[in-house]
This record gives sequence, structure tokens and C-alpha cells, in this order.
Amino acid sequence: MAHGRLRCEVPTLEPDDDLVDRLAALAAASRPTRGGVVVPIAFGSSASRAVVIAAAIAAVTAGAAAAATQLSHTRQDEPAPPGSSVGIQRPGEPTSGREAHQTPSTHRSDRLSGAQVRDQARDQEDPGTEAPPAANIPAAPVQHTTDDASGDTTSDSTRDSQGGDHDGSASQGRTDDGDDTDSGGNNVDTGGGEDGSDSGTSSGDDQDSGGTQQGSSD
Amino acid sequence: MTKTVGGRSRDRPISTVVAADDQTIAQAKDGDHAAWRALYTAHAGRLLVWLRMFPSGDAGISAEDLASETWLTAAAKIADFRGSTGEFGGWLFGIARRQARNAERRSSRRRTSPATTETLDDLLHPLRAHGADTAPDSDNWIAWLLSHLPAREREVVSCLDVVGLDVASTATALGINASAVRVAHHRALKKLRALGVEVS
Repeated sequence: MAHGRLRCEVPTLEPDDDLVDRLAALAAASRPTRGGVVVPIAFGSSASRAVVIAAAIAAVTAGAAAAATQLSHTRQDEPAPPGSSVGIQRPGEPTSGREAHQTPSTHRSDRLSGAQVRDQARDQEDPGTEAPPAANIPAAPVQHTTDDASGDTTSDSTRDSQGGDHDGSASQGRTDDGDDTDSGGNNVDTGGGEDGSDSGTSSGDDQDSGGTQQGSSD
Repeated sequence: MTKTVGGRSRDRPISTVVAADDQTIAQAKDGDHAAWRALYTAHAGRLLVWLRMFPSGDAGISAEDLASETWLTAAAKIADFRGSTGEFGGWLFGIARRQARNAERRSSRRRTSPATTETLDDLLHPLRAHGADTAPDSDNWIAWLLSHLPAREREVVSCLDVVGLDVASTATALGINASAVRVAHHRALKKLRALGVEVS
């Protein structure tokens, strides 16, 4: 077994003047900290600390209450599922992808005028007034309206066959230049599906989607 | 008066001496040059020896650099210290231990030590490679012995036996209580005896 001493010979070191100056300057500039966190002098007294703590607790409580209020209102703000929409699915009608895309749109139903809503309600109540299938429509001479660019190719005879369905919407559909608002008119425009092939090329797809879908479904 | 704060953190001193500063410490807090010179003369030598006992294996980290950083940190934080000149040693060694640990962490993250298969073992175990064939009582032999101990026991033995700190200062330096220091010291000496080394 070897014997030895663990004690090392400790040298005596003398600091140079620069190091001593630097240590003294640092020590003179040293300020006590509280647990590693510098506490401002204004918060040094116990009363000030109590006020700060109370304010912090109040702020946290108010924040939690505001968050709880927001969370409780979140479900009420959700829009209700559309009860009636432009593309109402009727029993027996096949569903296409584009129609399914249109059906839950609440924006379109919001923009319907009162006359259009009444027309749709009447359509639902009285399916007998529904336009006959496109295949049974006699081939009437098609008279395009003046603004074919809108895509509404409904002939006068076709509109006449639909009774009052197009009273409020047909004019809107004719004068419209292809935006979403003429979807109501096109929705009841069952004849448009027949010759919708030429209309679909003249304008955007969205405006004639209702008529085209009904025509193709028939 | 001693206030005991227990069970918080291993790095936090368990017992904090709340006492009036002695004259040297009070003058050092005021930025007195003579007081700092006296403190440096009393503690710098053994601090350097103690830091040399824990080679990091990185040539970019020297014990002298760590000692200088320790003194600068101590001067910047001297306002937080309460105690005597003797207790200043334990506080100073605690700063040095944290400095060494931070340097080791930095070194391990940025390690770019080129090594061959012949020198790889020397890099991994720098003391085991060359300490066994050195003469007893030399610094390399002591470092070789300490390299066989776990980290905590190595630190305790180096503080108590190598540089001669007392138990209270060792506890302050290592952030443990005095009982843990004694237990670790007892276990370390037992392991050294098992190695065939009788330490006096």
C-alpha cells in the first residue's frame, strides 16, 4: 500500500496593481441584489411590495375573467346551420360536388332579396309548379336576351312557363354581369340547363352553376 | 447567528451566515485596494491549486483564466456577501466551481478537439494516462488519485485535504451541508484505501 499526502503546496500569489484597481472598482460599483433579482428602490418597502402584489393579483384575475367571458361567448357567436339556402337539396335529386359546395353557403342566402326568399318558399311548398324536366320542354326558338355575356340564356317562353317565379329574379339575372347575386334567378331557371352549354362558356362558372346543375341532373 | 435554509437547491448554500463583516471585508466593499490585495494574497494560491485539480480536457480553458474570472465575479458581487475573511474563501470557491462548470459546458458544446486513435485515450482520461507513474505527493499523482472518485467526493477531498479549507467553507463552496461534506469525505477516503493508497 502506497502512502502519500494529499495536501498540495499552496503558493502565495501577489496581485498586480492593475488587477487590484479593477477589483476595487468593481467592488465599489457593486450593489446588493435580492436573490439574484435587482429590486428597485421604489419597491423596497413592504407596503409598496404589498401594493404591487395586490395589483398583480388583480391583473391576473381580470385577465382570467375576460378569458372566461370570451370562451363562454364563443359558441353563441357561431353561425346557425343554414335552414334554407340557395341550393336546397330535394329528395331524389342527385348531389353533385358543386351543388354540395353551394348548399351550406350562408352568405348567399343572406344576400337574397325578400322576393327571392318568398319564391323559394313557394317552390318548396308547391312542387307542382316546378318546371318540367328539360327533356320534355318543347324546342322553342331560343331568344337570347340582350346581355348574353351574363350567362342567363333564359328565353321569354321559358320564363313564361314558370309563372311568377322570375318576376323579381329574372330581371336581376339578366342585368347581372355574372356575379353571385343572379344565382337565385338561375336556380329556378330550369330551361337554362339545356342551352347552358353555350352560356357557360360566355361567363364565369359560378353564376350559372344552379341552372347548369339542374339541367344536368334532369 | 446561523439561519438554516433547507431543501431548496443543491447549489444554494444551506447555511447562510448572517454576521457583521470583518474589517477587511467591509473595506473591500468600499473598494479599498489594500483590502483586496490582502484577500487575494490569502486565497488566490489555493484557489489556483484547487482549479488545477479538475482539468477540463480543453486546452482553451486554463485554471488561471478561471481564477481571474472568479476574482472579477467576486468583486462584482461582493455587496451580496456577509461574513469574515475566512468565510470569504468558501464563497469564492463556490463562484469558482460555477465558473468551472460553465466553462466545461461551453467546451462540451463547442468541442473541436482533433484526436488520433493514439491520443484519444489521453484526451478522455488525461490523468489516468500519466498519473500512475508519477511520484507520490506530486500534483499529478494527487490529481490521478482524485480522478478515481465521483465528482462530489472528488470536490470534497480537494477542498478539505488538498487546499485545506475547513468543513464549513467546503460546505459553502459546494452548496451542501456540513454533514454531507463529512459523509462524502469518509466515502472518498474509503475508496482511496481500496485503491491501495493510504492517505495521511
